[in-house]
Amino acid sequence: MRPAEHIKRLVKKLNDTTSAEMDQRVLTDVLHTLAESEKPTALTRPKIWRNIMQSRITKLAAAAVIVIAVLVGINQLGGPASGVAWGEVVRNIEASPGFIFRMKQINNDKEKGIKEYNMKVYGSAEYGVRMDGYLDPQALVQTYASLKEGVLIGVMHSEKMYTRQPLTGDQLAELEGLDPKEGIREMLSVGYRKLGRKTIDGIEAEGVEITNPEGARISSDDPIEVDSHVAQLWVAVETGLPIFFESKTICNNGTKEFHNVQDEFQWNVELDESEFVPNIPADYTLQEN
Amino acid sequence: MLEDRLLVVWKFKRGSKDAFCRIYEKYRDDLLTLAKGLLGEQVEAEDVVHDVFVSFARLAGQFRLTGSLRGYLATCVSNRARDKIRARTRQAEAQSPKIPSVSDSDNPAARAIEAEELARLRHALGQIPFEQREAILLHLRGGLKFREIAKRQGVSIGTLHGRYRYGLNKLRSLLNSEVKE
Repeated sequence: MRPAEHIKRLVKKLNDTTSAEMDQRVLTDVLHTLAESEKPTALTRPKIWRNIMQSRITKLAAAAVIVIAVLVGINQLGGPASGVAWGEVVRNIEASPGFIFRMKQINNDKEKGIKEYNMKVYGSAEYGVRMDGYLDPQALVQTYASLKEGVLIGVMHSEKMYTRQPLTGDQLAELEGLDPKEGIREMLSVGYRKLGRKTIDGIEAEGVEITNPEGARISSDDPIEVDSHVAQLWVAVETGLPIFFESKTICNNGTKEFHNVQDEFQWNVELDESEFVPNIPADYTLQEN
Repeated sequence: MLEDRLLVVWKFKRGSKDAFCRIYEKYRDDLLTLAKGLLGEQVEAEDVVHDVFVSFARLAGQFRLTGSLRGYLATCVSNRARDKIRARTRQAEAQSPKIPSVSDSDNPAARAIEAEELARLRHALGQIPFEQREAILLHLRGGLKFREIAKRQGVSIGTLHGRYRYGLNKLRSLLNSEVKE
């Protein structure tokens, strides 16, 4: 009877070697890949939103900025269309001292299963951003990006722990005014089309759509290759402010799907500074990242 | 570690053929062995390793390595092998068009015996469940820790230990039964 150790030794002795033909095939295709991918894409840029998402606690929140992103991009690109003056939309947002909206993110991973996140986003040009998210109905996660203190704080109440990390100068520059600038311009620079009008929750709106995969802003722990991407933004004709955003991104040969919906927007909201100051109970533990 | 330095070179000099070649040369045989152990089929195993390296070249500048490069590449191979197996409509027979390398023993008789044992082991690997095979090969050939494999399989460390142990026992049983026959 062979002992288990013998089996282990045998497994370790398994040894296949690549053939010259295989080596040639791999190297040829890799060089071709490198030549094709010399031009960096938006996905390769470590923007603030990606950095924020790299924190386990706070990564739920990053998609919340997509609406702002889309609008900045439109401002860079677009002339006015009939009804909604797209060039005015960003100015309308900038004139709003604060905003609130709801966001739902559904990640469908062929291997890891489906995860759904729901959150409420509070934004203030003066104080920063706060996002209250739920991993499940019992697990509240709060994220604070403070412009005044220059810190990013994540609080996971179910675990009684929090993270605290400084925002770098570049990150702060991007946060101020809630304007992701370059990264966002890239997203829209890939092109969009107008969708015309439709009524959403009784409000007449006009929309635009992005379908170029390079417009996707996805964060994942795994390497991501975007197969397809569709994002729609709808803006109220009367106010020139967004009321609905939805994106669906399919990645890695259809094995990962990211679905994001943002709605229930409230604009021109006066938010108090206290809304952006985390109240961390004394028995919570600081988690080192 | 050398592999970390290689990765740094690769990531920051993306496009450097030399850096990529060093990574490829360092890991190609290990990954092919792993893929073939998981799939039991040479052509599919070569395709998996090819695809892993091409994807690595495409994405190297984007991902954040949290473990070893060897472990990362081994995990990529395992993921793709799993996809291949799922896509199969019938179980491929574990046949090798190449004779596996054996020990450095100078004794021809010992080498012949070992070659035969390795051939039986390959056949036996194809007969145990994928999760058990994956646990054994990722640990013994991919260098991954049990907790890393448990995480990727989405199971507890206890379950993973069980799969590893049951897999080894099954292999042992299969090899012994063949000897008896």
